[in-house]
Amino acid sequence: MMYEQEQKMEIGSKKGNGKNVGFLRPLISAYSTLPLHGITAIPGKISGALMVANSIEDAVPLIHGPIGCAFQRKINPFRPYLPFYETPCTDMNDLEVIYGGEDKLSLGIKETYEKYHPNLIVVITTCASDLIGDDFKSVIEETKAKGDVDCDIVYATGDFVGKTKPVGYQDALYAIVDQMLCNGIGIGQEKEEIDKNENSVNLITFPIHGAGLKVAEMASVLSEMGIKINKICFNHTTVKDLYELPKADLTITDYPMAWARLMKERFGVDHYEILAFDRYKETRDPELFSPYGIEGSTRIFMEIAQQLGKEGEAEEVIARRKENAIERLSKVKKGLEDKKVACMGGIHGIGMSMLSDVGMKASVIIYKTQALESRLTSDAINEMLDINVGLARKYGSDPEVLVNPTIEEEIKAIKKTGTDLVLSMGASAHKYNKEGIRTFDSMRFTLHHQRIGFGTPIELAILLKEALKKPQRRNPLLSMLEYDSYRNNLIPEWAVLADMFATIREGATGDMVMSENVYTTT
Amino acid sequence: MTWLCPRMCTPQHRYRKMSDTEVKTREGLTYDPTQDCKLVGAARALAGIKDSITIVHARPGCHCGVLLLRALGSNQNDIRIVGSGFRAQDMVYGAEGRLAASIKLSYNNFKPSLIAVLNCSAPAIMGDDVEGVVQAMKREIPAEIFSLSTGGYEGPAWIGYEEALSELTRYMVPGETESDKVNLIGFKQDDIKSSADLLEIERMLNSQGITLNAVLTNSSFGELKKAPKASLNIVLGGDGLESAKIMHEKFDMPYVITPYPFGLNNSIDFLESVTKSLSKEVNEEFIAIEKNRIKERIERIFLFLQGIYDMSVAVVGDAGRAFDLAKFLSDELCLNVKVLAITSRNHISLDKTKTNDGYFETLLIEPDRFEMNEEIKTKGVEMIFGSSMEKKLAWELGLPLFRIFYPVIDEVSISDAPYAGFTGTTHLTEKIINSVINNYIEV
Amino acid sequence: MDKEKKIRQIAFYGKGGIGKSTISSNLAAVYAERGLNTMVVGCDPKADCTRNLRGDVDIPTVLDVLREKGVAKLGLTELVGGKQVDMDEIVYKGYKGVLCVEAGGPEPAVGCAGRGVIVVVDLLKRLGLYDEFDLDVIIYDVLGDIVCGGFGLPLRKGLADDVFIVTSADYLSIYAANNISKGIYRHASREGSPLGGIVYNVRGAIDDFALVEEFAQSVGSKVIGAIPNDTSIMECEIYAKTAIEYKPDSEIADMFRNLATAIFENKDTVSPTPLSKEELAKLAQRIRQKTREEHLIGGSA
Repeated sequence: MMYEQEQKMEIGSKKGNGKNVGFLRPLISAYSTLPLHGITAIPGKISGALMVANSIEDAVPLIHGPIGCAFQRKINPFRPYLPFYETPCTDMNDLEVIYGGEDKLSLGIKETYEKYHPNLIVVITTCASDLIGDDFKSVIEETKAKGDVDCDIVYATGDFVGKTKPVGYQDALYAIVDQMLCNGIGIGQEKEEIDKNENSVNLITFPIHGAGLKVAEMASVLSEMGIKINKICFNHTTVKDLYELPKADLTITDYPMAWARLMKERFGVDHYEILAFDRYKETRDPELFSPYGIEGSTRIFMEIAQQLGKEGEAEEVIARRKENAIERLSKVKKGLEDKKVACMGGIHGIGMSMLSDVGMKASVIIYKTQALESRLTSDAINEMLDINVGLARKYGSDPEVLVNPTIEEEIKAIKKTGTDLVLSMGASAHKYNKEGIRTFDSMRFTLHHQRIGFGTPIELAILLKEALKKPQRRNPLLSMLEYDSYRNNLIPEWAVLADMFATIREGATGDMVMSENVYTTT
Repeated sequence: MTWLCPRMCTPQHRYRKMSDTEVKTREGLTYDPTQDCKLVGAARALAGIKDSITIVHARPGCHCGVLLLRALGSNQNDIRIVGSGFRAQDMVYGAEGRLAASIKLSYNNFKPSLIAVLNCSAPAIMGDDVEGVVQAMKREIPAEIFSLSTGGYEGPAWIGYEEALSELTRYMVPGETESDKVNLIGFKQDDIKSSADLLEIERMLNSQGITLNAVLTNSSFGELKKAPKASLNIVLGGDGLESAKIMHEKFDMPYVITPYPFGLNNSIDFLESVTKSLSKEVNEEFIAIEKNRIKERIERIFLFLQGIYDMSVAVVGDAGRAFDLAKFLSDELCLNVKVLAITSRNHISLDKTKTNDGYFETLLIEPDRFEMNEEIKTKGVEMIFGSSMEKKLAWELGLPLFRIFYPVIDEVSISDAPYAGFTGTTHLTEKIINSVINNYIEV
Repeated sequence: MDKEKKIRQIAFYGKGGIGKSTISSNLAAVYAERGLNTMVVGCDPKADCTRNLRGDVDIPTVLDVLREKGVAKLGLTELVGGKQVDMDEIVYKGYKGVLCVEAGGPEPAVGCAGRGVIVVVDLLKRLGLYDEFDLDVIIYDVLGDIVCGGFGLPLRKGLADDVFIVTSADYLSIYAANNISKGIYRHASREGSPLGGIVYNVRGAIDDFALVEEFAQSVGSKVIGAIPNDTSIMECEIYAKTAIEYKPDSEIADMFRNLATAIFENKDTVSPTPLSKEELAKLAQRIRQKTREEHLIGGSA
């Protein structure tokens, strides 16, 4: 009992680096229901690049473009709850668009250095500067050569990484490796020049708050295995930290990243992805999309150890930690065994193996494809569903599968199967609570708690137990509103926007055909 | 059409001292902006036309940005902003086809009375024939459609706002003028307290036997077209002056520039200007009752009101609102406005800088954010009135931030307690005192 | 481009219709004939620069492929990386294995072709095209007048080793050549591609080698070669073949071979000094003078 209390306090406070980030969670959650990111809109590359610039403490972005590109991007879709504060721009106007903006860029870099004294300036280009063909590379070289600016300068156009998502984010990181870390080092010479930190890894997280905490357990386990932690980015990362990235033997990222591949090419730093899209291509092993929970974490730790030749040490550490976790879990999950949950299909969300860890069964899988249909092939959509169902069956569940159901169909299936809890995404909990069905916000869990490690299922178990104690029936004010029958977390107007977005993005190639003075689209 | 002389590629330094007030503008070339670009100004103007759709013809970032600004406010059920689905390859091939498709889709899905296409940086530089597409679509679609060039490099948001309103005057039809009917110009539907303020302003006008005709912009397209029915245009804080002038020329409509009615005196000035322009006697009784109510309310917290006397503050906001708020704070609450930073101008800002009623110490006109922050830090203020963008500065200095100017993305307003007018005076006073006494800092 | 292997990289500029594509495709055929791995990158929205090397077979342009991939739906494994462009989709093996790449671009009066050039060159770099095929020679064939930043891209550092301007002896081509020199001059200060020489392509009313030579010298360069006005070239065009392929033993084929050698071996480059308006005007007068003389001599009215 006391143990559970301790766990709860730990979940609640989550101190890290001496700063209590627990208070940020409600803030992050409050903004997390915005239907963006490919649903009704898609952020541009500037937002992603700014995330990178902002995540480096002593770096400053310089947006080479008009004021709107700098002002609007302060409200960043990846982090709408806390605007960015320093986004100087070169204030491009009509004259620069016509005559070229290179002079202004050069002066702008100098001024930015004088004002902010950063260790790195990240020049981020915009539509205007891209279209007029400003030669960013030369301008930066010339400005540096003049000697007034004594810091690193990189530029990100969004073009270095092709279509790798998120484009702006990946591109800025690529630019940092390509232009800054490789700077002055000849090709073919790097590997000998660098003072390696033997048997060490870099842990990379997306630079949102609390990200550093998400790797704390991983860092601890790896250290015990004799694998040192070279750098954890991005968590109060500085330019100096970035320069030390090539010292590691391995970079661990959440998903394939172009800059990690470049690090391998230039510095011999291998890379490992938690969500192994590249390996899935070859093996089609669905487990590759299930990295969380006891089994998932075991596999991940083992694979990392194998890449560094530390299998021997790893085995012992993993076995011990696993046993410890299972023992704790067995106490904590009492009351959860054989309880049934309805879950949402898809890559994100609480995986089937974690459910199995806490002793619960998936009774219903609800799979919504509207947001995916414009971006993925129907094969890919079906594949994702098969992965979910396959994993469910592997872990002893036999769920009923609903594809694009109406809310009524969902409720019917949930009640028919005697489901105890719905793992809903934040926005839709009220629909179930109104019908007397308890919910657990899996989006919130994924945002704040889900990570590689043996502690996650324990946290999940505690939170699920709490969820089962919540009132079964509620009268949410939100139920007074009308919702779209398929995108049932959205009111009809937003659903229309979402549908329109999908249609417009996927539709017309942009060509116009004039026929009888009427424009038709091809 | 307004043409804003673009800043040349050399740093400008303007510093003028007038009496005891310092007036400063940007010193350097780079600009950490305190205002948005033309696109957003135009989008804000158009958002207030309740049965219109705005199509942002731009790369996805612009569309996402405008959508976010709206979605993070208190109009989450009323978005009406659509993108044209511009993709990277359209930067090479042009995106007229996408625009046409998006116009059609917008009409089919929303059946708006008006579709406004805002042509932004990328397609504008490429030379997409937006006007041509619009002309062609007009033959297919029963809605009114127009396009506006709103490339980011063309100018700041307020220019876009003025131009959008001016463009809308083209659709107005002359009609039988009704006395004691007024239009409100310069109203922005996505200001934090817009709906509550509007209710209060309407109440105040009604007390004078005046009714609202059209609100620019918070009306349907049909109501907007009938704007010339009113006998007077009220230009709030000077915003939308261009359109008022056009309506004066076209429809012989008089206009009056009033303060935005923050506080008691501004509210009285507002009513007096309007009634005078309508050749009416102001209803003194109403004003007396309101004054009395304010007196009764402040009496309840007079000790705290005395306690905040002479507190130093900074005001960071757009010209159409910030000058008037600063006046109220200085004159009636007797706070010392150490820094008044005008984040975006309007057509009467220059006049305002020339007259000095002594209610601010330092005036910054469209300052660079970095320079502005430094100025505020050195001046030593105890509270900041601004937008959500001043959040970090306030936190760094341990000061309360009163969110009142656009954009406010971390506070909502769905109640009817205004900031404007007589009721607004008490509400502002209450909130200001609370911000001070609520604030917690550990030392 | 930063690799150790010396790839000879050449860019051809010149007024529209002056014969750049004819020259670049013939030169490519010569290099291929000599066993060099050659690639021609056509930077013209018309996508016809390499026509003569592929018998007018239609090939997808790089931008078209990018466009299709951009809207195509993704498979599961493509969720993060997006659709990749395969080399095979954009590189076509033409005559004697010359690799043909067409950038493509928008229709007239729409879009932004300059941006198109930027996107294509960036993509080729990113795909590592130059290493993949172990190239010996790359030829950039760039359209008409450099009217915006995008078309100046092949002039930037690390792309072409030197630039050759194709001109004839008429005023408009010389004017265009001078404009291009301005572009080269602008980038030269940033270690951009210098001017390798002027190629005199005889077309139009007059043949005035001396004039073109004078122009070349005035800007600080030289005439690196001349291609006479030969009807065989036109004949080859009809069959969409180079002279090297269609009439390999002809005199004109040999002239192309000589030009190819001269260009390949050229080490003499300059940052050009573009002519002023006044100097150009004087040149224009001389051209008009010469044209009038030709007419009188020719006896036509």
